[in-house]
Amino acid sequence: MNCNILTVVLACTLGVVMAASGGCHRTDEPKAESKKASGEEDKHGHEAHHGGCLNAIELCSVGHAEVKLEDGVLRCWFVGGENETDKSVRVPDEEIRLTVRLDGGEEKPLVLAAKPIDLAGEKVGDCSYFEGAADWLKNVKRFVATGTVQCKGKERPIRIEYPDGYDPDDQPDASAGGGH
Amino acid sequence: MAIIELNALKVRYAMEGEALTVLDIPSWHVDEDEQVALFGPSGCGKSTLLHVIAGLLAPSEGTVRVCGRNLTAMSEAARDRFRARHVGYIFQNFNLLQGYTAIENVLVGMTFSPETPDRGLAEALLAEVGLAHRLKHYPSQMSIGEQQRVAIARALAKKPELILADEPTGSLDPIRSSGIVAGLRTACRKHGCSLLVVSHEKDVIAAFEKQVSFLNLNRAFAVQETPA
Amino acid sequence: MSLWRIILKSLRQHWLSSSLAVFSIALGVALLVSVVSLREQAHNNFTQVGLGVDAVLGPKGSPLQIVLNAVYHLEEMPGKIKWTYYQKVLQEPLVVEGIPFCTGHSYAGFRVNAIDGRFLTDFEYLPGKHFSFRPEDGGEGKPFENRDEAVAGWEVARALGIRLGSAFNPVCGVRAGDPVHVNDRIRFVGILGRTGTPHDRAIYIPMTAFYTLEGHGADVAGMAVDEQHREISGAYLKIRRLPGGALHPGIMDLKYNVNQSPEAQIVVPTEVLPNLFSIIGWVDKTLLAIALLVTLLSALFLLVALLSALRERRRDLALMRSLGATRRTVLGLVLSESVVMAVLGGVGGFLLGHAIVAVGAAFIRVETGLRFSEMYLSWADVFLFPAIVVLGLIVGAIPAIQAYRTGVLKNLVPVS
Repeated sequence: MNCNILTVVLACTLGVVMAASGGCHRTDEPKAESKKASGEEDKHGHEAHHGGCLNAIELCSVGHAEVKLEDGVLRCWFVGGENETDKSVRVPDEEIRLTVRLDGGEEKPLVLAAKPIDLAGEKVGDCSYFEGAADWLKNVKRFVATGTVQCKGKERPIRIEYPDGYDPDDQPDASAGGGH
Repeated sequence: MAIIELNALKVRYAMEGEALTVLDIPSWHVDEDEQVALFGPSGCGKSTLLHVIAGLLAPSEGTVRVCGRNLTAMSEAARDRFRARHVGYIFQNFNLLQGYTAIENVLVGMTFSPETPDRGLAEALLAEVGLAHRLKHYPSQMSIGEQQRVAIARALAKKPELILADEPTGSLDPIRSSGIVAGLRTACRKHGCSLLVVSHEKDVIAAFEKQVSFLNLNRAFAVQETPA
Repeated sequence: MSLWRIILKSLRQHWLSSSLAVFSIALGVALLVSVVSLREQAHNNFTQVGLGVDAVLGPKGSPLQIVLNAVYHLEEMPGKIKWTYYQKVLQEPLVVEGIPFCTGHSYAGFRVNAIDGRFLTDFEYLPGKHFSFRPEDGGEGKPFENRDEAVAGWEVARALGIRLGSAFNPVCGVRAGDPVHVNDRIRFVGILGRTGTPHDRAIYIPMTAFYTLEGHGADVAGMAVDEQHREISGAYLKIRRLPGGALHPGIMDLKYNVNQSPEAQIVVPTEVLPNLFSIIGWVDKTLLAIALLVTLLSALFLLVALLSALRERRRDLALMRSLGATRRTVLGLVLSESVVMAVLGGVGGFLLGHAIVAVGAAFIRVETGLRFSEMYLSWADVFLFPAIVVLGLIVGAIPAIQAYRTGVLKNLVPVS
């Protein structure tokens, strides 16, 4: 008997099914790498362009402190409110004094000194970037820090919750009107 | 050995809520290598009997054994495959494929059998029926008699054990008819096939040693054999 | 006679409807193949590892515009940056090297870019590949040394018939009707070997030539020597990489720092170009939808052709059943006929689609310098055959089932 046509046809169908299931996934659009490369979507809800965690300064609309801990060095960028986290916000403070409460309840002081970004034309007293280092920071994974900063003409409290970030809207007693 | 065996065969059609019995054959057989003419008036069910023997139609009751195989126990597909191998069928209207040449029509006859289509055999069969010069001609380019001879060659192509011919000379004049029947009988003898021919033409029937009269509707089945 | 011959015979018997069905499938497939190929190649062209440019230091303005001008020699720079600021950026530890340039001139429709001479000798337009003046690479001559010398990209030389020693007057602008520097005759001393990148489509002159072209004024002329007041259009930056080849992650901080300045910005081409595709994404989605629609319509046409052929073939199929073909065989015959027609259409469409790409590629290369190849195989080509077979099976299913159900005796005439 000649080749069974139906067998051939069914074999083709099987081949088709195997080919189709063998990875027909194709990325339709090129990846928008900018978002992933520059910073991740922070749990806070806005983009942290340095890969740190965003902490609202009083309210999200005022501004944020993006904080990153690397090898015992705490880096802090003051950036815009709401979605403007890619824009720096310069503050007049020459240093930021923080009280850092560690996981075990112990409290330690930490001073962040202004480190002007030369390429942006910053100087001390007109600066958006601060750094502070301490040996005890090297093994820290989680902390809450409080302090104050002069931001948009007012002295405002800072609360840093590392590594999750701080958003007053997430707190049980969040004030009205500060939502994202 | 019997090439065809029928037992308590009944074929009924449902028509307007009632069953119409068109075949009621208590028992019948055709022996191997026999050539039988089956005659009866039009509409008495002769073609229906050929359809049942060829496996084209399943009976309502009874058993049909052809070439020792019980067709009534087979599925439709099995009957098709059986027919492809064992039974050649010649239609009254030849039923050639109009878009195929003579040789292609014969080759199609081999296509569905287990045998590999053999072009040499097809040419030989057409030569045997006197159509060696018409291999590449289409049915529309042939006479009626030539078309019937192609149908005969096609039926023989699969080397069947049994050939069924339903009114093979129905469309021909008497002179051509006798020639066709003679040629068919000779070819069957040569190729070792049994032959069952259905016809209402006296001259055709008379040419057969074994003639069977076929009655309609629950009639008793009488076998008339011409003395040797 | 094999079953495949029976199928081909049937196709020949209904050659008109079969041909039309095959042609319509070919048309739909050709549209699909060409649209997807051009789309993918466009994407590849615009994300070709930045074409040797890790980052562009440019003026404030649209990042996309900066990349299109600096890398692809399209559009115009939205401003200028100070040479002193560029020098400051060069001091950053992450910046390995910078190649400054000035754009804004043209000749015969091609951009004339003033650029630092190191571009022609040190710049890697693709990993490990430098520009070549060697004849075996399609190049001629040497890099420019003097202010009245120029080097042509391969495509420019071919299009304008440029030979070594040919001269031109640059146009001060990139639009038709912009004034010509009639007293500044610049001579071609070199022709770059073909790179297959947009760099083939530009003419390069020394930075000093740009500043001292007649008509630019004393202030601009002074920039040739006065670094304090010098301005440039931008600079290609080479950024430090990690051992694996990825850009140093510090690029993000560098970018942020520069972008906070009112003076300039850093743009990474591979981050910006996807935005181009999101802008024009709706265009190719529409084209793709049209191509799919045409293919679907041709599938309908195939169905109609098969159904009408089946009406004429019932008797033939019943006859084959009487000769011993099973219902499954007959179903297989009709299904296979559908698949064969679909495959023939697919093959025709594949060839026609790539021919369309070949024609389109020629136009695109002339107009934009972007290279498209008719030999490129896209995902449409990869999945073409399986998809066409599935199409043939789906379309053939209805007539095949009808053939399966064809009664033998009902469709054969005689009853005695």
